[in-house]
Formats: sequence, C-alpha cells, structure tokens
Amino acid sequence: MRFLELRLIAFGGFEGLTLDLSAPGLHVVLGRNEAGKSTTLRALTHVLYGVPERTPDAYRFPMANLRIGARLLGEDGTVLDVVRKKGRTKTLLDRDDRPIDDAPLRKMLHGVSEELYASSFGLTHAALQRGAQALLDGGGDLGESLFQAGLGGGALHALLGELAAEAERIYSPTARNKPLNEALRVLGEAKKSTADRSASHESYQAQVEHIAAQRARKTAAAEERSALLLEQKRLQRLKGMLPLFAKRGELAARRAQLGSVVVLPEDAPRDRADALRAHADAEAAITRLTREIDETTARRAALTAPDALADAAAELEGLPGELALHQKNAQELPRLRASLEVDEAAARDLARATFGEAARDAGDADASPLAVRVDTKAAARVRSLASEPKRIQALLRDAGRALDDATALLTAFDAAPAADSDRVRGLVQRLERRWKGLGLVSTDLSATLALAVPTAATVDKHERALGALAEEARRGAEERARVEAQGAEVARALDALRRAAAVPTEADLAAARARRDGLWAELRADLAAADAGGRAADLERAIALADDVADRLRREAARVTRLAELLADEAAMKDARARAAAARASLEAREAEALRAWNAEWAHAGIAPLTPAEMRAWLERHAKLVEAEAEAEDARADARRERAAERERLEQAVQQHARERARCEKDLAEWQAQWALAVRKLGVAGDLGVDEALQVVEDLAALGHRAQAAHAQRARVAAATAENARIEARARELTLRLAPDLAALPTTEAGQQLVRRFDLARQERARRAELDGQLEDKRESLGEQVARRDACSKRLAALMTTAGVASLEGLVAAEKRSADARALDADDARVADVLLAKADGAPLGELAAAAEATRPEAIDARLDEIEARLTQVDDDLTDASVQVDRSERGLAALDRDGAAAAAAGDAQAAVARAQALAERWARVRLAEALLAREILRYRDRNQGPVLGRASEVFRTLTRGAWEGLRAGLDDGADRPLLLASRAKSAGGDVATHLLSEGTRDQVYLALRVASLERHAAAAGPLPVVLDDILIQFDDERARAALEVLAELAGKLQVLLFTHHQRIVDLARAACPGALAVHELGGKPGAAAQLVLTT
Amino acid sequence: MKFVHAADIHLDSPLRGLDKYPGAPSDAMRAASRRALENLVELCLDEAAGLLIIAGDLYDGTWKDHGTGLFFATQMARLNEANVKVVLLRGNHDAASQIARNLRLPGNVHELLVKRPETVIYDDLGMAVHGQGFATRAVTDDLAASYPEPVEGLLNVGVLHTSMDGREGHEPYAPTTKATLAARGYDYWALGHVHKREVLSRAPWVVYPGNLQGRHAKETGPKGATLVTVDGGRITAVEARALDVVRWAAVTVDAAGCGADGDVLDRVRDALGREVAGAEGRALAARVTIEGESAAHAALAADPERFVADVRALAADVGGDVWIEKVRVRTRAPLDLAGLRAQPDAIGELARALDELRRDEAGLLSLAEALDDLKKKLPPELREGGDGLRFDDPAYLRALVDDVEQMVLPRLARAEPGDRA
Repeated sequence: MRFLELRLIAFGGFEGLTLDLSAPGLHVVLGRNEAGKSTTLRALTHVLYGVPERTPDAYRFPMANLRIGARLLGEDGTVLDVVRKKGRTKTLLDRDDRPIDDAPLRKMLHGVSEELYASSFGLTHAALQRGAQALLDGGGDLGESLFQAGLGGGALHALLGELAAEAERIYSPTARNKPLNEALRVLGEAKKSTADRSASHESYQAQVEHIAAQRARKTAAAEERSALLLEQKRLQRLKGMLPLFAKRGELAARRAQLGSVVVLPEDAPRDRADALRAHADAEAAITRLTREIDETTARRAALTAPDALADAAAELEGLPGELALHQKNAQELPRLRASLEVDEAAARDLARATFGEAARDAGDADASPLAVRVDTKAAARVRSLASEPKRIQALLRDAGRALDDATALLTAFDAAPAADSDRVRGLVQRLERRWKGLGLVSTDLSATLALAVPTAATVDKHERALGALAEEARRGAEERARVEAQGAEVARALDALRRAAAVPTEADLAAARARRDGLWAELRADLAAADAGGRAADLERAIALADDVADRLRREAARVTRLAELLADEAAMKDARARAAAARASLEAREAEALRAWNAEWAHAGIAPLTPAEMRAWLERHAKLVEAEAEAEDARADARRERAAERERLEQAVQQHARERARCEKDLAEWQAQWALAVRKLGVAGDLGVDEALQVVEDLAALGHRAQAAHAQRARVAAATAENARIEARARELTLRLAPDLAALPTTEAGQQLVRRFDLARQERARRAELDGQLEDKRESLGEQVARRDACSKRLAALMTTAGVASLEGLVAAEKRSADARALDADDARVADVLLAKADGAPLGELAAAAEATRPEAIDARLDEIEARLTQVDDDLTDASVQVDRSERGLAALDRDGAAAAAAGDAQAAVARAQALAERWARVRLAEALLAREILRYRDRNQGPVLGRASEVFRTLTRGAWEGLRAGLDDGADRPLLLASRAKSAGGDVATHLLSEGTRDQVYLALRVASLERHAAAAGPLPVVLDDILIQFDDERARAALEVLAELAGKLQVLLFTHHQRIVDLARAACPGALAVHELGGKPGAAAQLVLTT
Repeated sequence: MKFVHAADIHLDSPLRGLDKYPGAPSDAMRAASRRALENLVELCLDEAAGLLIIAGDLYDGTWKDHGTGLFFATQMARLNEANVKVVLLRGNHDAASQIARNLRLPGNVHELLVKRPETVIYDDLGMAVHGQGFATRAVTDDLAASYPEPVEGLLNVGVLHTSMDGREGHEPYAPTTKATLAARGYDYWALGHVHKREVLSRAPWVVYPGNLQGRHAKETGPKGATLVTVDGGRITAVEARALDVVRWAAVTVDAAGCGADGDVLDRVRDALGREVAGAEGRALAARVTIEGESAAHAALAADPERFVADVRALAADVGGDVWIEKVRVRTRAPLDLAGLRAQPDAIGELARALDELRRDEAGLLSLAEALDDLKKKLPPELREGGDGLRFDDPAYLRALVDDVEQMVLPRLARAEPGDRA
C-alpha cells in the first residue's frame, strides 16, 4: 500500500491542505518549526487508524469537524479514497462524508495494528538512537541485534533487562534474603515451630497415664488408711475395756461368797419397820379411846332439866316482846291523853271561824267536821276554773287581731296590680341582649326567632370543604416557598460555583490537552534538533505522569459533578414552579365554587354569611336567642300560677281567724255557767268572785288538817289501852298452864319467870345431843384401831414367810444379806453397761473372749505400729493428690491456646507468599527463556538474508569505509556477535557495540532497512515514515543515507519528514529524479501551501 | 426438642493462602476454627438443643497437636454442664488422626463404633441415632447399606461420613446412594465429608451441613451447622445457621472499559464493599480476580506488586476486617493477537511461537527447565493444592504461558513512548 494523496481537510492548524504523494521515489516533507510537521505526521496515522480520543489537533476546528482524507493505492492496483473523522464508530467516510466499510482499508494494512505500524514502520531520530544504544547495551549480540531491528520500536533489550532483574530480585538459588528465599525459610521455620508447639501424642499419653497411675495410688492409700483407722479404733476400744472386764470378775467372786441369798424387795426393811410402828400406834389409840368413852358417858348422865318445858317453845313464842310492850304502853298512855284534848279544842275554834253557826258539831268526837262541811272536789273545781277566764280572753283578743290582719292583707293583695318578677325581667333583658348581639339581621325579634337557618351539619360540611381548600392553598404556598428557596439556593450555589472559577468540563480538558500536546510536539522536534531529545523524552514522560496524577485528582474532584447536579436541580426547580402555579390556579377556581355554594345555604335567611366558623358561632348565638325566648315565656307562666295560689292562701287565713274568734267567745260563755255551779257546791252562800271563792277554799283546807290530827290521836290512845289488856290475859293463861307454882306472882312478873325457865330447859337438851354424837364417833374409831393392829400383825408374818425365817431377828439378818447381794449385782450391771457402750454394737461375749486372749502390752505395740503406718499413708495420699492435680494441670497446659495452629497459620501465610512470589518468578523466568529462545531462532532464520542485505546498506552508508556486517564469535566465548567488517589494514573487524556512536547509528539503520525490505517482500509494503532521522549525520553520511532511502523507496513508499532545509538540499543532490519535496509553509493556523519540487 | 448437625470441623486447621501483610487483620482471623467451634457450642446452648451430632472430620488427619483435642474436650464439657449430649463418628481425617484415637472425652460424648454399625438410644430425647465411623482413612464400602433397622416410636437419625455417589473435589469414601439411604426408613441423615452445604432430600431429610468454617478461597459463602427442630416426634424445621468467623469471598472484577488502574481500583472497592456488607460483620478473606480486555492491562502488568498493595490499602478502607488473600490479574491487553501472529517479522514470529507452545507439550516442558532452579527447592506445601506450583504439569505451564504472552507481546508490539511521530 502507498499513499497517493494526504488531505488535511480540517485538522490541526490546517484547512484544505493536500499533499500529493503519488510520485515514485523518496518524499521529503519539509516543515520548519511551527509549520505543522508533527500535525502532518499524526494525520498520516490517524487517517489509517482513526483519530484518538485525546488529540492535540482540535484546537482550530471542533472535534466533530476534524477531517483528514487520503487516497491509497493497494498492491493489487485498488485505489481507496477515504475521509477520516473523529469519533468512536463509523469514522471512515467517503468524500461526501458518508460512512463506509473499513474492511478494504484493513486489508490494505495487512493486519498491522496502529501500535505495530508505529513501531515497525515509523522511525524517529530518538528511535534510531535507541536502536543504536540497544546494540551497545546488547554487547553486540547478533540475535538480539537482528531481533531488535526486526521489531523496530519495541524495547527488546529493556524488556530482557527488566525480566532478568525481576527474576533476580525475587529469587536466586543461593541467596538468603531475597523475598522468595526468605518466604521459603520462614515456611521452614513455621513448620518447625508448628511441630515444636504441638503437644505430642507421647506427652499427652504420658500425662494421661501418669494421672491414672497416681489416681490408683491415691485410691490404694485411702483404702489402707481406712483399714488402719478401723483397726486403731478397735484396739483402742479393747484397751479401754480391759479394766472393766477385770472389775466384773472381782464382783462375781464377791457375789459367790454370799452363797444362796433370798433377794428381798429393796423396800423390805422399810416395810418391816412400817408394820411394827403401825402396830404400836394402834395399841396406843385403843387404850385412849376406851378411856374417853367412859368419861363422856358420865357427863351425859349429869344433865337433868325437863324436856316438856323445852317442847313449849311454840306457845311461848313472842311472849318476852309482848311483856316489854306492855311495860312501854303503861308508861306512855297518860301523855297521849293530854295531847288529844289540846287538838280537839283547836279544831273547834277554826270551824266556828269558817262556818259560824254551822260549826257547832266541830268538836264532836264521833264525826269529822270535814265529812259534813267540806266538799273537796268542789274546792278543786273552783281552783281549776279560777284561771280559765284570763286564758280565754287572751285567746279571744289574739283571734280578733289576727282576723283584722288577714282581712287587711287580702284587701291589700286585691288592690295591688300583678307585676313581672325579677327573674322574668332578667330573662327578658337577656333575650334582648342576645337579640342585639346576634348580628347580621335587621328584622324584629319575632321575625329573627322565626328565621330559616342552615343546620350545623351543613355548616360543618362547608367548613370542611373550605378548610381542605385552605389547607391545600397553605401547602401550595409552602411548596412554592420551598421551591423558591431551593431555587435560590441552587442559583446561589451555581453563582458561587461560577464565580469561584469557571468549572471545567471534559471538553475543556480535552481541548487544553490537545493544545498543549500540539505545541509540545512541535517544540520537542526543535529540541531534538538541538540534541536534547533524551531530556525531552524525559520531560514528556514527566508530563504524562503529571497528567496521570491530574486525572486521578480530577476523578476525586466533585465540583464538576456538583455543577451538573446544580444544573439539573435548576431545571427541576423550573418544573416545580410551573406545577405550583397550575395547582394554585385550579385551587382558586375550586375555592370560588365552594364559596358560592356556601352563600346559597344562607339565601333563605336573607343573610350574607361570614366564614363557616364564624357562622357556626352565629348559629349558636341564634339558637341561644330562641332558647332565651322560651325560657322567658316559661317564667311568665310560673309567675301567674304563683299569684293565684297566694290569693287563695290569704282568703283561707281570713276565714280561719274568724272561726277562731267565734270559738273563744263560746268558751267564755261556757266557763261562766260552770263557775256558778262550782261556787254553789262549795256550800258558801251567795255569789262569790274568783278571789273570794279561792279564800274560802283555803280556809276549808286548814280546818280539815286540824280535825284529822285530833282524830288520829284519839285512835292511838284507844289502841294502847286494848293491847295491854290482851298481853296480861295471855301471860296469865300460860303461867297457869305451864308453871302453876308462879300463879301467885303478879301476872307480868310470873310471865318473866316462865320465860327464864323455858330458856334453861332448851340449853340442856342441846348439850345431851352433842355428847351422844361424840360417843358414837369414839366407838367407831376404836373399832378401826383394832382392825389396823390386826392387819400389821398379819403383814409381819408374811414378811417372815418370804424371808424364810420365823422371827423378827431372823428377818432383819435376811434383809442384810439381800442388800449386799443387790449392791454387787448393781455394780456388775453398771460395769456391763459401760462395756456395752464402749463395745459400739459388738457382742460383749466376743469382746470378753478377745480381752481374755489379748495382752495389754501387745495392744500398745500394735497401736504404735498403726500410728507410724498412718503417717506414711497420709504422706502417700497427699503426694498422690498433688501429683494428680499437677498432672491434670499439665494436661490442660498441653493446649497452648492454639499456638501450634497459629504457627501452622504462619506456615500457610508463608506458603501463600512463597506461592505468589514463585509464580511471579516462574512467569518472568519463562518469559526470559522464551525470548532468549525466540531470539536464537530468529537469528538462525534471518541471519543470512537480513544480514546480507544490511551489510550492503551499511557499506553504502559508510561510503565503503566499512566493508559490511557479518556474524562472528566473541573472543573466548561462543556467543555469536554482530561485527562490522573492514580490511585488516584499516583496523580489522570491530564488534558493533564497540563502534563509535555515529557508526552504530548507521549499523542500526542498515539493519532496519534490511528488515523493512524483508517485511515488505513477505507481507506487502506499507509506507515508511521517517522523522528527521538524519539530523545527527554529517552531510556526507546524510547524503549516503538519502541514497539508501531513495533506493528503499523503490520497494516501498518512504516519507521523510524534516525541519531542516539542509536535508532537502542534500536530498536534491543525492537523488535527483527520484525525489519529491513538499514544504509546509506559513504560520500555524494559516492555510498551508505545498511547494512541490521534483 | 432441637438437635444440631455439624460436620467437617477440621479443628485448628489453618486458613490457607493468607499471606500476612502490614494492615492485614490477622487478629480477626486467628484461631478461626476454634472460634467457630465455640459458636457451635453457643448455638447448642442458646437453642437449648438436646443433642449435637458431628458427622466426621472433627480433626485434620495430619494434625498432631493434642492441644486441639483438649480444646475440643473443654468445649464438650461446656455442653456436658448443660446436659447436651454429643454423638460423633470418625471421618476419613479422624481415622488418620492420633488425637481422635487417644483423646479422653467428657461423659456426654458418645463416639460411634468403627467396626460395625451401632445404635444409640436417647430415650429422654425420643431419638435413636445410628452410625458407623471410619476404621481406616479410605473406606470404600457402602456403610449405610448395613445400618440397623429403625427403632419404632423414636426419631431415627443416621450419621454417615460419605461422598454419596461422587462429589466434585472430594475423595469417594463410603459411597452410597439416595435410594439406599431412603430405604433405611430413617427420618434424618446427618452426613459429613462434603464441605458445601447441600440438602439432598427432604423425605427423608438428607443433609450435608457443610464445613463449620471456610478454610480457603474456594470455600466461599456462609459456613456453619444445621439446626433441626423436632415436634411430636416429627421434624418440623431444618435451618442453616452461619457460625463462621471468617467469610471467604471470590471477588471478580471485569476491567473492560477501564482506562487506568485507578478505574480498576474503583471497581474493586465497589465489589469488596458488597462482600463486606454480605459478611454481616465477620472478617472477610477475599480473592480478587481482575479479568477482561482492558487498556489498564499495561499498568497492571507493569507493576503487579504495586497494584496488589493498592488493593490491600483500599481493602483497609472499605470498612470491616478485610484480608486480601490474593490478587489475580487476568486482564488482557487490547492486542490483536491474530493480526500479530500473521506478521512476517520478529514480533510475528514471537507471537506464533507463543501460540504454538500451547500445543507443544515437549516444548513447554523443555522451556520449563528454566524453572529447575526453584523446582528442586519447592517444599511439598507449595506444590500441592489448587494453587500448587506444578512446574511439570503442562496444563499449569500453559496458564503461565498465557501470562507470559500478555507480559511480552504488548511491550514489544509498540513503540516506546516518545519514539512515535
């Protein structure tokens, strides 16, 4: 493929520039500084492969308008006319800007990518130098040199160096501190540490077994200890029992000495003594009682008073008292008679004073003056009636006054007109107040009360409707305010953002970079010309790096995002405002409708309503007005009812008081009749006034009292006289009958004597009865004592029988033996009890036998042995326990909290690290090995053809100073080297890495030319683009190189770009007739012109 | 009544692949299997379970620290105090374990026989548990086929360490079939051996609870035990309970469309953030894989260590304890490989050679001789396992060649910066 034409339609500073590249031969494009050489170079690749995302060539035309065109000629004669625009897809167009298929173009490019095209078919001065440098760095290695030249731009030697360094950095078999060596060493250590920290089976087993053994030892010791303690206890017990068994033996011997003994009851001696003492007591009592019976019998016989007189007690009953009364009456009678006479005289005097003549019988001893003259009932009647007239007249007065008052009240009531009460007045005033306060109506009160007004429910309904609309309006206003506030906030933020600095966009950035890169590329070329290419490249890398950093920073910068967000917010705010306005309009319409409906509800009442809330209050006021009217009417009715009731009450009072006065007048008349009758009954002549009559009554009462006193005195005298007569008669009768010997004595004295005799007879009879009782008691006691004495005799006989003796002396001896035997038996029992207690349940017989068989010394010896053994066993037990405890802890301590697992984790970490490093190392080593192998293979395959052609080119380039290039061996090694050959006379062959810099450049150029020719021959030619590669060459060498290039141009298209007129001049001299020169002129931005020189 | 079914505890088996680096949350990961076992015990206590079933592989076969056994015994003693019974059997690992053979266990723990199947009756729980442990490391008989008849009137549970009829990545031990298990007439089969939780059947229940704690990058997601609720002699609920302390996650990020490594990091941060949220507060061990064709490839390939460091640094920022187990860069440069291979020049020859190497086993092995320096010194731990370095395995070498291709070709098939016109 070759370019027939390159058109910079709109690209960089160019517009409508066309380079005609159709001529055969070498094309030299001259672009002085700032003339657009770099832009043109880029246009060459971009038209083939597309304009990159970031381009420095969009500073004059916008991205979308960039256009580069080309006419291309394929090996098969096909001509493609294409235009390239910037973009992502379908960037290949025809001349009419219509997208076209890029397959034909790709076919022309033989599958060479842009990267590959740049590295294989582009050669800059810097790349030429780097290739030459690689020859030096590669030590003149033939394969590497050929391969590098075959690659073109690819940095083979640098890559080889990096791979070797990387492999070496990671690992080497003999190193210690390199990362992989280190990781392997750490792994080994961690594995060892894992093993070290693991509790082994043996240590675990040893601990477990040790624990078991010590447990067994502990158990055995404990068992032995129990057995020893048991034996110790048994022996100590036996030892304690030995004296007791001895004691029992002694007691048994003493008991045997007593021989056969009747063991009497323990209280037998006391029984015997008691019986003897009781027998003696009984004998003494018998003697005493016999004597006392005799004495008492004698005292009984001495009592002689007759019983008959004692029996007359009933007849003599009361006689001594009567005799005393008789004596008293006889002394008082004379005084009583004298007093009677005085009283009777006084009574007669009083009667005469009261009744005058009528009192002539007052002193009559047989009749009471009052029984004849005084009617006590009449007197009482007079006293009772005397107080009546005053009471009746008072009542009459009261009744008259009350009647007058009542009549006056009734008259006054009828005369006074009916008036409204305070309550009614108050209610009416309230009604009027409410009417005045109702508002909104101008009708009179009754019309107002009758108004047809809407119901509360209706008002509620309208209030809800209007309220909902109001709420909606409020929310709408809030929403509008919020939207406005947010809008203001967005506007403020936008303003702030814009004020702070223009916020860059992606487009700004791309443009800025494009501009910078364009300028830099041109500047760089100038620098290259000034032999500062290396540092320029460094700077370029630094810029790229800085760019990269800027990118990273840019990603983190939020401002761009913020701007986009704010713009979006602003748009959203506008929408929100529009929505809010629409909502407001709709709302206002609905509000008007709702108000109209509300007003209609009040039309009937002729009222222009306020708000529902206010009208609800009005309705409440109206309802209260109606309510007040009803209440006032009720109050008026109540007042009317009360007045009627009051009049009726007054009339009734008048009538009742009239009745009362009439009744009083009648009572007075009746009294006057009764009074006259009562006075008459007093028996006093004539009409008596009230006071007079009362005086008469008083006098009559005094007379009565006096007469009654005289009458009583007279009766007392008569009674005393009769009593004394009766007593004398009784005393006389009794004396005659009971003691006729006293009949000669005066009656009362005889009676007194009789009474004294009677008292004596009664005393003697009582004494006899007492003595009879005593005799009976003593005889009974005597019998008892005889029986007691006989019983004692019998008891003593029984005791002797039991003891087997016949006498009291024998009984006493038997008692003594029995007591001795009993004491011995008791001692033995006590000892036996102690033994039983000590035996602790063991059969005494066995113990006795054991005691019999054991010597105390032997027991002591065994106890000592046991004590000693116990100490040992205790020590053993303690030791075994300590061992068990220690071993258990030891066992638990075998688990060191997963330390072994942690070490295994460390090992795994080391494995992971080592694996990662080893894998990296393996990749690097494989890459290294593979490249080495491929370099060798390439050398073997290409040594002949490429080296042969390069040799010719090199000779041409050096104008024969060197004969050519050839393969040779390193001195002392078998490494094939690339040698520059010349006559021995001229100095002989020199390994290429030992050549001067300029010559090395020529070697590399020769190798590249040979490789390009070979590539073109094998895969079809592509245009070669050379960028000022000759600036370091002197004129002679440059001319030679231009000749070589002109020759190369016969095989593939060669485009040489240069800043230097010198190169153009040299080319004109070197290859006349096979050269086309294109000059890029003018200033940047101006239309370029082509100066074609052939 | 409830019982808990666990298996494959592999107590004290370390987490694999976690290279320690500054900022790695190593404390959070320490003794993860012990903490998980403690969680299991807490679950039993919290749920007032009557029985804990451990269906084998309590220990790692090669693990020799008896401290591990003592720790297990201590945990079982906690259950003993709460009167929780434990029944366990030996799996293939336990059969090889010295610890399992010798350990003294508290009275509540019953280990099922290995010579013949055994039935343990828990009258108070209304359960009959049948099972047989592994006598040797490799048991290839169908043990389940000779398990005892179910006990009338009790809930019958079979405990079995088995690979069923084959499970990927697991040795084919005590093989059996669902039909064989169903034919036994039990209510629940408590299986062990397979580390991924799986409910094979619901009538009867046949359940792998999965292992208690994921141990490496392939054992991702929640790990724990199965809680079984029994009501009126019937199983009414079977639920998975996550008990793991460290959650493993595979984080794969497609770098396509990323212009620079910073963009890739952003995607990694997002993906890690999602995993951290899913781990519910647990520590997270993540394997990050970057794949896809991307312009960022050159930057990632140029300095992989820096990229790994960047990923680790951002993991520390994501929140929670995150350990980056590994960062695998599997990106490809936007290279036209076919185009390159068609070139008649040096780069074309190199591209073709790389491609041909994939099919040339002898060539691969011969090239791998370059690795002999290291191969001899690799300890077995580095050669074994999924991530093992198998320098004489052509498949492994081919994967390395893929990486090499992506390392070399992009570098050589482009001009150096500054050389371009």
